[in-house]
Amino acid sequence: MKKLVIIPAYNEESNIVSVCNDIMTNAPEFDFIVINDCSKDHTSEICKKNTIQCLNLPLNLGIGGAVQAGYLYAQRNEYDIVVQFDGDGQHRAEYLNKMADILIEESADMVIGSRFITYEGFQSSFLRRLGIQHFTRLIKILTGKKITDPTSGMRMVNKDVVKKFAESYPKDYPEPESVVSLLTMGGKVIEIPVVMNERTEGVSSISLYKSIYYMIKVTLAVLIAGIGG
Amino acid sequence: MIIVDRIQIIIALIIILTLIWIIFMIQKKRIGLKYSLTWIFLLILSLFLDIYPSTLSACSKLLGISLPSNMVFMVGIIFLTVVIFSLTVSVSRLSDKSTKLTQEIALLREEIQQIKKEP
Repeated sequence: MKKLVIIPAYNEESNIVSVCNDIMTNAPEFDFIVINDCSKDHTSEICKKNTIQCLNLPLNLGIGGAVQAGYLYAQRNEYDIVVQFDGDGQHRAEYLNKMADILIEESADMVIGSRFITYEGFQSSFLRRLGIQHFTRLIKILTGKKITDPTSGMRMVNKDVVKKFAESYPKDYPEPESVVSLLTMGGKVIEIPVVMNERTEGVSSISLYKSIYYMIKVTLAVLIAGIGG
Repeated sequence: MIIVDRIQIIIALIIILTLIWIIFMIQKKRIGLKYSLTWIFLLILSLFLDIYPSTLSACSKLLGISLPSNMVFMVGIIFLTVVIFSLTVSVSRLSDKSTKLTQEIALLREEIQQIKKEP
């Protein structure tokens, strides 16, 4: 069974090597590929120097387009299990094998690593948690399923979903929207508790300034995805 | 009898010059014929209305709009809204296409790297 880790990275020169080392030590069965979303720093050179496999996007596509490039790569190289893993050191590779086991055992379509089941580790800021709760409620209303951490970027999917995501994937802020569209298609989504780290270097892709825009846009996207199914 | 105003002549000149300019742009392939048709149609319509302004009053009377100028504004705003909306649609489509191309280029680059490594 071929397993792949997709690591979207934008200006992650200070984190990317340790992220890859984490995967190599704690989840050696997984292949991994960095999707360098046209970083302005030395992400590409550092990947090359450390012989880290890397897709270099010639234009900046944003998280959605970058991750989709990874799914396209996975589809063409016939991977059976694919997991998204942030390039900023937030996620821990120790959970990858457990996620894969659950995906196979439960024949799930998606397994999400959630911070809000055991409430351990870095819990994000109060306002952000409030926003996440809003999406959890919205998804519950639309699909009847409770997703405690719909914004989690740590998500593993099976081959069918890889194909679906390779064909179409939301452009920006894709996490909640893609979960909803999967749920409305009758997909099985399971969450497992994980501990996440506070990001060590760099800044989150969502600044306070953009959060209102984020909330409105993702709410709309989730609503449309929920109605569309 | 048609009384020709000076302003009518000026407007007609502006329209004709613009038409020539658009045709020149098409010849030079600076705009696609597909996108210029709307503008050529609009210019010809304006030229017609410039020469026969009475059609405007007739139209506005037919629609129950007291001032012909108000009708021109209304029709103009509706027309521009439609044009802008269709631009939004094309921009979205273009951005989808450029996303696909960007991903494809990255994948091809990676494949080339792999092939170079093999022998």
